[in-house]
Amino acid sequence: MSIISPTFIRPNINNKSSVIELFEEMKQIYHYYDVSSKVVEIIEGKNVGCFGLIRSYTDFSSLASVLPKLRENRRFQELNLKISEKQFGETTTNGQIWLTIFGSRNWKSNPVSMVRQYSVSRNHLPDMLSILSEIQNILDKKRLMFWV
Amino acid sequence: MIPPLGEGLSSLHIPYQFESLDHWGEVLDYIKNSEEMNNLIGQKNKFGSLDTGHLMIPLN
Repeated sequence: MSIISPTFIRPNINNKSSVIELFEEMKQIYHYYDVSSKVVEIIEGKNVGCFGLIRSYTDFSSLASVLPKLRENRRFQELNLKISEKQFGETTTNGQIWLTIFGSRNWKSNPVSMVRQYSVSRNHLPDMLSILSEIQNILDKKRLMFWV
Repeated sequence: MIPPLGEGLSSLHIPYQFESLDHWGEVLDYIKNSEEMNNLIGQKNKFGSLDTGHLMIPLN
């Protein structure tokens, strides 16, 4: 199980590099607190052109221990304010957390991601996971990895 | 992935992870042409509806 927390910004004209610099600096702060993160660009699909900073926590306990430290980190709060005030562009995603319930992330060997979002009743989650398990078995030979 | 907090609490996010953009193209062509995969995708659509999707690459 891991916890994923993403932030995505659609940069205003001429602010692409500012958004990347902002995320790179935040990434260093997360790294200081032993939180894995990566900076990404959406190149096709919904929110194409947005840049993102995706954090990964091992569990809720590690998330809970890091959040107060980030609140007390003055530089992090300054950077976060730039996001809240939309200094470099529109924030399309922020402040959400996602819980993984199947598989595991592998950012090193498989760094390119295609994310598909479904609407699923919680009652049907076991059915979906059962099918995804079959899909994973077939796609293992294609070196595809996914997690849910 | 499911969101325990925030918006879209009935959503399910499935990140498929690829080695490269070429690998992404290769796998999607395989899925498109595979009867077995298309049957499974059809079953998946019985339990949920696909809302959005996007492709992203790392910057470093």
